[in-house]
Amino acid sequence: MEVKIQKRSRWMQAVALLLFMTLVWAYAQLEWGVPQGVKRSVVQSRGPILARDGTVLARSVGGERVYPQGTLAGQVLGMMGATEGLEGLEAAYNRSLEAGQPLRLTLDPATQSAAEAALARYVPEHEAQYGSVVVLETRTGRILAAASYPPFDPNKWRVYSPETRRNRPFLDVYEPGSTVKALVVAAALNEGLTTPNTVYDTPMRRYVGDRWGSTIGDSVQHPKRLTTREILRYSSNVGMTHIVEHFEPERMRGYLLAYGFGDYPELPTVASSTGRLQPLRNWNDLVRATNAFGQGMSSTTLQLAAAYNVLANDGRYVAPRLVEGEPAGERRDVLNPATARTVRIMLKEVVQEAIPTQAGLKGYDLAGKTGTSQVSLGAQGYSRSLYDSTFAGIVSYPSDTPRVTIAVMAHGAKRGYHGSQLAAPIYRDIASDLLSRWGAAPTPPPPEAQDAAKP
Amino acid sequence: MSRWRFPDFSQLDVSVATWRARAVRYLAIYIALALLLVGARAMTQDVRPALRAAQEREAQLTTLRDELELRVQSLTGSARVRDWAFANGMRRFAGSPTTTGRFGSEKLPPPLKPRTTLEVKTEWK
Repeated sequence: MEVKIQKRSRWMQAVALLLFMTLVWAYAQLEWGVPQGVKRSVVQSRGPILARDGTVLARSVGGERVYPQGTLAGQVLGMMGATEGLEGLEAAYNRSLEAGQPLRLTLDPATQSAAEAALARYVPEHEAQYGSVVVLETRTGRILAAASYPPFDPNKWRVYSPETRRNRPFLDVYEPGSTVKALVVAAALNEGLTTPNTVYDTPMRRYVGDRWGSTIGDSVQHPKRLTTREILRYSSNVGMTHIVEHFEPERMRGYLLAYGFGDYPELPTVASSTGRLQPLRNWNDLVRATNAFGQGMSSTTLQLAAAYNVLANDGRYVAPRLVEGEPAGERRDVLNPATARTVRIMLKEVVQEAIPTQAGLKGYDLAGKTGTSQVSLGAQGYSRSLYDSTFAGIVSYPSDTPRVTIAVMAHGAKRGYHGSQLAAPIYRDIASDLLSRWGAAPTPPPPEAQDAAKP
Repeated sequence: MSRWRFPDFSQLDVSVATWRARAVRYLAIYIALALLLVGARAMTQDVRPALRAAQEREAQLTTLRDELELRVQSLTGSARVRDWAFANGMRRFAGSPTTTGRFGSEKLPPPLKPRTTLEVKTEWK
């Protein structure tokens, strides 16, 4: 009997101890909050957006989204609302950023700031409304800079208008004008329709088309007969109508498509425009002629850069890329490498002979083409006072080794609206910045040129 | 193997003396443990505030570090460096004027005498 009582007492002691321990646990819950291991709170901060070299472009600090570089690539980055991205990459990559994943871009901060600085210098100087620049790494298609003007600081996004927040190099569509001439000449050379030294009769004006045709005119005075290379040199619209005279519309349109016009660039997730190529059924002599000098079609600055990159890349189209680590887009051969090289030489001559101070740098291998296009007002025709100033070019170092391709656009300049006056100096400044950073030594002129320069 | 049987409550010792003794014993144990707990709490009462303060300080320092990192980045950004350089009269290497010329008829310095012996220097530490 006594043994039984002792056993029950032990049981009761154990139960009392258990109850006491629950009391201790409850007290600890109130006082320390320690045993809440399961409920450990996980703070998920939004992932940063980094430039190619690791420079932080966007980061969450103290529960706020901060853009430490201010206006640098502001329109590309976009901005964040209370909880999620509203525009730009913040919106496009919202899901992965929310999951804490960093987003590394192909943008090079130095190139981006050079492009923005050049726009900020020349666009207000010429009283233009806005501008955009794209710089591509030739071999890879990496977008090193995608700049817009006026600048936009995502830290204070509420004070900016939607127009200022617009990522212009990807979204603005315009007629690229005479910059397209080099691309069409390359296509014609590739098809065997012309050679660099083929001579054409080039009056200052020429009627093209039949009943519904129109008179095409040139703005730069030039000799009455021009070779193909001189047609680029003088930017002759009349000359271009001759070069494409025997170009099958389907073939020529096919080349423009292959250059990337009239289609979305292969940039996954990021918003971009297509530009426009007229459907083949609309192509007649006049459409073919106007497309040969970049009117009657439209593109973005990104597309223009990607198209010129074909010339820089020995005839191969490389889809542009903005985010590191994403699969590379399509690569396709558009031109023979020899054709691309020939056109590069012709573009180098354009810079050296026609616009040596506006687009050239003494001792460096710069090549490109200007464009000045009247702005289309839709059904009302073309504006007589509004112009788009464009330039597309290649920067090579060492000589004839293209490294970057640059496209520039400035809209609505009131003073000096020609491509050579506005867009070309922007290109030159960016090229100068890049060459300086590469530590590229100028190539001395050939001995005969040095002797000729002596008094 | 013996089967479990329902306890026979008629055999249970329900005398007052037995239960009084048990109540006193359990109460004493409870009080002792409670005193132990209160004592431990009293002895460690500064641990929790110190821990909280340390956590807050750590959070502050982390935020400060992040802010300073960002500030350094913005101060050393390409645009700022460029603006500073131009403001201080610097110019781009590629855009600076370049001239070429030939060296005149100055005599070249005599070539160095080629060394034919090997020199070895040993230092003892």
